[in-house]
Order: sequence, then structure tokens, then C-alpha cells
Amino acid sequence: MKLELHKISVRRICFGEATHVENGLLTVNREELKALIMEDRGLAGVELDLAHPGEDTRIMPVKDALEPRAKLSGPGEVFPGFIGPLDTTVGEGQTLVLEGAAVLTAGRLVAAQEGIVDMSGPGADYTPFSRTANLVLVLTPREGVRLHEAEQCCRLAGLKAAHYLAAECRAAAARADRVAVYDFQPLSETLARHPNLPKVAYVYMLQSQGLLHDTWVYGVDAKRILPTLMSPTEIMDGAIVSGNCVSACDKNNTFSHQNNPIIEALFKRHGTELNFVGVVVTNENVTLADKQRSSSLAIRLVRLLGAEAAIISEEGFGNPDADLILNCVKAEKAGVKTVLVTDEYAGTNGASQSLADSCPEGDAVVTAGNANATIILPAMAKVIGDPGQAEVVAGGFFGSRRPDGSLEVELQAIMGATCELGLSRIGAYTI
Amino acid sequence: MEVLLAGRGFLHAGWRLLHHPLYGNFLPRQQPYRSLLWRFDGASVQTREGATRLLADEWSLRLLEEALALYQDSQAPNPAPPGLREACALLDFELLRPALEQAGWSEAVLSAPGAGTMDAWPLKGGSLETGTA
Repeated sequence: MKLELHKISVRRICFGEATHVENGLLTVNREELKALIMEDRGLAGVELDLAHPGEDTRIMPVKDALEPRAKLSGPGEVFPGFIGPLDTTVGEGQTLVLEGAAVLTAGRLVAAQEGIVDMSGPGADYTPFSRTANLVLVLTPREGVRLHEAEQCCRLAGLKAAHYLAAECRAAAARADRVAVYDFQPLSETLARHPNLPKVAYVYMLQSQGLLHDTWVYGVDAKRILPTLMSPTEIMDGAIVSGNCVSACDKNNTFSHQNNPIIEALFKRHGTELNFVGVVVTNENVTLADKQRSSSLAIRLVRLLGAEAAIISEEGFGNPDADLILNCVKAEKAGVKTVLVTDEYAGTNGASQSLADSCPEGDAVVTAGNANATIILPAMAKVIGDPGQAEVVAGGFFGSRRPDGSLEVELQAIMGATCELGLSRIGAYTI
Repeated sequence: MEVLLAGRGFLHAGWRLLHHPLYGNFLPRQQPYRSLLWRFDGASVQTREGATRLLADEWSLRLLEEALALYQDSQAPNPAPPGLREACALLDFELLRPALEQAGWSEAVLSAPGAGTMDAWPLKGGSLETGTA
């Protein structure tokens, strides 16, 4: 499956008469986009705002982040099952990307759920969305809608906006700043082409535990799927969508699925250092029976691919640590070497137990950082959303808003601060 | 903490835990509620003396002990304003829903008044303003 990402660089966003992109400036017809979003009867209102790198601006509570993308050619449309039809799969042809832009959805559903994006100051160093030009949707569900529906309304609004922005800019595709090509070959071909390279699979764990803890695969609630094999290019076309609103630092927002750095790194090394044989998408369910079933079937797929090694990324923490360990143990027992990607909750001083579960086989682990580390976020001149939410977002705590308007929070409150896909700004280098 | 300790007693009395004792993406101190769902398994072994001894499910026991260690290492749940407590109770229910369904609870029961699906936005029970509870 060959996918070309035609990327147009966006440095700024403004509101104007017609939605289009030119010379790095994305102009958005605010009323047209608002009307599109308000077609959803579950919403009482939406406010559109803008935030750019370096501004004295805080956005909170942020629910999801999405990169504007739309198909130029090839089967289907991005976000299949929501925007795109289901009569075909995605991940082939050409897709337009407004690189450097992001749609952020914000608004309150229930408490203890969402995150902070600071566009400047110390907090900006921890979130990738301080470097994007952001169109922010502040969403208010209609009174009386059920909470599942309210979450769905907010999720769909982000998907619609991300698709709308790119679709309206298709005329500029010929002037794309760069084209990235990803060619994922059928297993038989890649085995024939690279017989001497180690075969590596990617086990992609998705949060799937219930309201505000869900992820969607081709429009299906991930808790309802059995582990399945996907081309990484399908994921670039939005086959995986986040409905996860809890623990901002390590929930995998839709933007991070679209731009998964593990997939990018595997493609980069494919054919030279390793043979990237496939992505096994699996879930992180609540019941112990589901955990055993999903880990058994995920590793069965890894074995059927003939993989000698697997990278396993977790989403979230706590309960899903058990899924991570089950996947690791079952893979290693099957003779498949594993590298685990997770983050830590090691206490504010870093001295506590990092994960809720562990195993001797898990001897190669990449950490995305300690989510319990605390940070002072100074007051900002402008707050988009609801500043009172600092008291209740995960990672905040009562009393976290100080008299001078600054916030004392754990990194858990900051969007993407310890992203377990690696799409974060915390890093380390071996020297 | 008290719920988990009580659960440990269930485990040694032949009950099996149906789901993970920790939430996903909540620290212990971020959730004042914790419901656990059990099924009586009754697995037993004969001792040398001929007595019957109930067996604790090993994996459930390990997960429970690990959860207890985290709770012991954690601060007590923050005092939460009423609006937040209601949201936490709702999420406790919603995150237990798959286990309830697998345990045979019907959709009719899970959708009954007072169950999570009947809660509408915004949640009843007041605002999320800071306060002590």
C-alpha cells in the first residue's frame, strides 16, 4: 500500500472570507466552519479561536488534537467510519496535509479529564502543540444530551474541522512544500526483498476502557475489536481516532496517531536495518478475560508475521500496564524479542514504583518521562477555554491555581508531555 | 484502600476478580471511588490432612497486591467538590460497565434510572467549583 503525503507548510492561521492556504497562511471562513460543526444537534455552541507559538496564551481543557488532512486521490477519505466511507480501506493514493497546523477541541464533558497547552513559557516546552498554529474549537454540548453522545459530538467536531480545512485547500496541493512517500509492501514481497534483515512488528496498544477512555478503529469502538493487522499507511489516513479524554500527557490524541513517530522510525529503517512487517493493533480492555484474550491474539498475529522482534507501545497507565506486561511476556515466551515504550508515574521525586506491573522479560524499555514531576505554569494574558478546569484536570489538584494566577501541576496535565508514541518534546540522547 | 483490602479477603475465600483493580489513566488519589466485581470460583485443594482449602486465583492476587502497593504509596484522594464526586462516581460505573456486561448484567439493568447512561450533560449536583467535601 503506497501513500503519498503532500505537505503544505502552515505557519499562521487567520479568519477570512474563503478557506484557503497561501504562503504559509491558512485562512479560515469562520462562519462556514461553525455552520458545519453546528449541524450536530448534540451541540449547543462552538466558539472558534486561534493560538500561535510564542503567544501569551493558555488553552484548556483540551480534549483532542488533530492534523488537517484530506484525500487527494486513492480510495476512501480520511477518518473512515466517521468522515470517510466504509466501502473501502484507506492508506493508498495521495493525501493532503496542512503541516504545522492543528485543530484542538476544548470544552468540559465531566471533570478530571483534559489537558493544558501553553503557547509560551515553561509549559510550552512540554507539549508539541505549542509549536503548531492552532485552530481551537471550544465546544458546549446541548443540555440534556447523554454523556456518551456529548463526547461523540466533540470528537466528530474535531474530525469534521480537520477534514474541512484540508479539503478546502485541495486547490493548493500542486504547490505542496514536500511529498513524503510511504510504500508498505505485502508480506510476501517484503520477505523476498529483505531476506537477511530482522523482521520487526509493531504492537500498537489502544486505550479502550469505557466512557472518555476509548479509541476508534475504522469507526469501531476498539474495545469491541479482536487484535487486527493494519498497514501503517492506514493509520496515517486517520483509521485510528482518539476518544480518550483522560490523562492528557499520555493519551494518544488523534494527531499523534496520524504522526506516530514509532511508525515513522520503522519506515526510516525499513530495508536497511530491519524489515518492518506490520502493525498489530490491539486494545486495553477492563476485564481480565479480555486482557488475556487480546494479548494472546495480538502475539499470535506477531508470530504469524514471522517477526523476530516487536516494539510494543502502551497508551495511558495503571490498568493498561497489565496489558503491556502480558504482551511482553507472551511475545518473549514465543521467542520474539520486545522493546516496550511507556511512561512512568514514579512520584514527584521519581523514587516510587514506576509501573503498576512488571516482568523479568521486560528488559528493554523506553520511557517517555515521569508524569508525576511537577511544574509551575505562570499566569497567561489570554486563556482559551475554562481556566477553572485547572482544579480538576488530571494532573491538577485542588488548590493548584495559586493567588497570582499561576498553576502548580504535574506533567500529567499537559497535552502530550509524556506521549508513549514519542510525539513529545522530552527526549534523551545516548552519548 | 479499604475496598482493596476487603477484596483481598474475598480472593482468599475462593472469589475471582473479574477486572483489573486499578483504573486506566487515573491515579489512586484522583478517584475517591473504586468498585470491584467478583465471581465465586470455589477452586480448592485437598490438604495432606484431608481438609479442603480454597485456592486464591494467582493472577488476581498479584494484580491486587500490586494495586495495594500503589495505593499505599499514594496520597489519600483529594477532597472533591460535589460536582466532581458525581463525575467520579459516574466514571467508576462506566469503567465497570464492560465487566458488568460480561458478568451477565443486561442492558436493561445497566440503562435503568440512576445508572450511568441516564446521566445527561451537564451533570446534576452542582458546579465543579473548588470546595471541600
